[in-house]
Amino acid sequence: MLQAEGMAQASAGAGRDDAKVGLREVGLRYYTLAGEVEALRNVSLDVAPGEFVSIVGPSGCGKSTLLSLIAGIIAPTSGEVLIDGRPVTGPTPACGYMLQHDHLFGWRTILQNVLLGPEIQGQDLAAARKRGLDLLGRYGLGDFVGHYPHQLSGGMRQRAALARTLCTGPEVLLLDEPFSALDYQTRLAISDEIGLILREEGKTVILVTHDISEAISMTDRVIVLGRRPGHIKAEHAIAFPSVPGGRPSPFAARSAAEFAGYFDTIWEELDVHVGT
Amino acid sequence: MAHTQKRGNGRLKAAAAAITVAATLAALPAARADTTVNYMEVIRSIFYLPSYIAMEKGFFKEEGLDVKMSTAWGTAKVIPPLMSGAAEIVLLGPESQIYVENSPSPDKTKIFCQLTAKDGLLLLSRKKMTPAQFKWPMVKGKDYLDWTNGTTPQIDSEWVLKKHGMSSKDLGNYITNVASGNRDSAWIAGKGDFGTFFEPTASLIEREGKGQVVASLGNEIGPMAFTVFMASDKFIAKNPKTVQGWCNAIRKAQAFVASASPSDLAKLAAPHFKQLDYGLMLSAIKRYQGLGVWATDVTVSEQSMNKLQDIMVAGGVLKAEQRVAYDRAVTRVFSENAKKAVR
Amino acid sequence: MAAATATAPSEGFVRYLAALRRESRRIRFMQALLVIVFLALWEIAPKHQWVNPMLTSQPSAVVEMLFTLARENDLGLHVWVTFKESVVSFVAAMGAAILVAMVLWWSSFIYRMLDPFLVVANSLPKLALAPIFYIWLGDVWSVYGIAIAISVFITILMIYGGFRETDADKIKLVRTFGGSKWQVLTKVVLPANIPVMIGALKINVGLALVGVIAGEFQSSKAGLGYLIIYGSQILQMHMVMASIAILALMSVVMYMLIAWVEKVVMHERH
Repeated sequence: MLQAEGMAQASAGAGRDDAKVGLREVGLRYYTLAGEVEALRNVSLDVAPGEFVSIVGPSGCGKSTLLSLIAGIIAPTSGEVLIDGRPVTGPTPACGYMLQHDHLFGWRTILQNVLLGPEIQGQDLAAARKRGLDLLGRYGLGDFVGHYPHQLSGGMRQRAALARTLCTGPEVLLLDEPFSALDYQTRLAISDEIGLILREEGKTVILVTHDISEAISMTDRVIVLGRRPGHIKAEHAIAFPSVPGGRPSPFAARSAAEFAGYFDTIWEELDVHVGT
Repeated sequence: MAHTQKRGNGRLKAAAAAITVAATLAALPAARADTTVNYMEVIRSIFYLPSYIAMEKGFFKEEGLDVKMSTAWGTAKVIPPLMSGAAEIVLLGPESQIYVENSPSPDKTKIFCQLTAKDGLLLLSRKKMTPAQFKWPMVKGKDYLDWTNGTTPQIDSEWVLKKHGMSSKDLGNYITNVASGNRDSAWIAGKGDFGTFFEPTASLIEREGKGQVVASLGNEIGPMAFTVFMASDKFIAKNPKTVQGWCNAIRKAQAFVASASPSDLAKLAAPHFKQLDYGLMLSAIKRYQGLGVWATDVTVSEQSMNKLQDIMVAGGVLKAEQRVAYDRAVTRVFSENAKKAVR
Repeated sequence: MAAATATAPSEGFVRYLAALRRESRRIRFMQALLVIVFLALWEIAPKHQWVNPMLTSQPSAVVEMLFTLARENDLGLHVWVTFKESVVSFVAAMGAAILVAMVLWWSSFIYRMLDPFLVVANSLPKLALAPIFYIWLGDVWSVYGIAIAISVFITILMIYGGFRETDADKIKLVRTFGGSKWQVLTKVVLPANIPVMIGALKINVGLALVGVIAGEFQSSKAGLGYLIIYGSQILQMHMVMASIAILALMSVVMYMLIAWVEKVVMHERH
């Protein structure tokens, strides 16, 4: 019942014209000596401005590939990828990408790491520096701007990585399992923190994860991907009407009444129907 | 056959056969077993022709010597085996005797016979001229391709320059930084207006049209100990017969070399110079024979040792107070005996 | 983050530190002892004629020779010449190797084309080329030629290997920012491989010295290789040994210089 409701809501939600990110029947094949692989088939998706969407799926279903397509670092073999209605032809400053590991450069200080994006994009560095310092201050890293990454804890490093992603001022954030390398406790805390930050910033966010709880607790809509080739299997709009006072924090969402229902449904879709 | 016999029987027969063979060998005319001599030459060179002739003509054999020859390719590589006894008789420049005498080595050596009595170096000119046209002052201000510092060829050049009232400072570029293995190609590549070479390089350069022999350093310097046979004092004391035989054989070879035709000599020496073409060898032998570089006397004279040490002192490789007395450097006993024994 | 060192260290910890210090003191003592025993044996054996002093020389004579060389033979010049030749060649070899590695990284086509040749060039015994280098490069440049040839190929392979091993996700990160290939090279690949380059430097110090000495054997007017040849020509083992002693010292000093550079550069990384 919930699923049907979600589907209905999703298709009603994002209109094609005002979508921030749009995928139009996107397909991707790549070729190796061993043969030809169809990674994605006929994927269509719209994400509204300010929407927080997650993509879950078994490993090898092409979730990360989807992000690379949106980021413009690979091109689809069929269909098209749109941002603000315009086709994506390469990486644009409109997208910020956050990877599984923080990948802070050991030879740069935290602030220098945060300024990597502006440096590459040739932005005004003085302004970027102000922005970077401001971001780091807000994420509790104000005292660590001159430190090197190895001097920071895992959670601090991940927040620094977020600051690096946001410093170029992207409108769309692509998060590729950004918390999976952290230990469980840090992970809960940091996903809470980053979830709140991103909502405050009002960014459009697409989160790829294999963690169903994370997807449900953090995002407005969960897209379930099937495998071989990757395709959209189901979509669920997530809402917690039982919790008063609007959207609960990710941590609170985990204990909301609706949580278990979403979880079971998605779990079933991933485990039972996928893999043959 | 044996395999058809019973085992024990076969063994007996084999033992009997062995005894017969041994007895036969002992009864052969060569009852006098040859003495093996481990001999080391400093390099392989046509300049050392009489030593190869002594081998090929069987002069060593006649003295009961079975010569096992090896080539060191460098003076520094001769001394350690000489000291350790791995090389018993060596052929090299007499300056080594002076160095050993001045060294802290408890074991000393002696020169007992000479092979060449003159410097065999030839001066080549890149510009076409005949020996008659050449005058030593012509090298003034010119590039002179010499051997590396401290080598006998290098100090010999200095000596000759000095004799003509010059020094290496009067030359244009005095080239002494080329290792011996690279000198030929350096000259061919155009380095130097004048240069000193041994045979057969000199003949090769002439044949290639890259220069002419214009003078002989040996003639400029005159008689000087240049290549000699040495052995350790220990070896000489223990093996006087071997040393004597050696001197006798070399004396025979010297006599033969002095009278034989260059083509006969070239044919005889050929097995020792498989890579060298016959024409070059012939030309080299002719030139050296004409210059008289091969000693006709096995004795190293006192004057020629003095001349050597004069040149060493002048060349800066020997201090005046390090000069070695003649009889500490040379033993004449064997060479004098050889002259009586071999007429 | 800094380790939590709260209150005064416990007795056990103090003992642990003391034991560590004692052990390293003992190691240093044994090292010194080894050197002393070696030098003593080297001094005594020729003196008592267990070995021939002309062939082995001895420390006292070597030291004496060092003073003589300094007084009469421009020892400083010889040391300087060899030092200069080594440093120039190994800087040149490093520079060339980094450049070539960059090209190979840039174009996998060029890499695949050149790979077999590089492997052959690397396994070739470069000293065999010494006479050819002499003919091609002349008496001065052949020294540098041999020294560079001896180290450049292995350095190319090492550095290129490092470039290729560069974390793919770090490269992806730069690409998501819209970074060009050149930016990937300068922002990630080069800085990430500084440790590899320093490792190559360490290997190259020794190789460059080998090449320079081999080159000086071929042709030289000065340098420690020249002194070694000259000394052996006039059968002066003291001179040969003195030159070798300086060479050993020189290679230690150069190695320490690089270790120092490494410490400075790597100070902030882990």
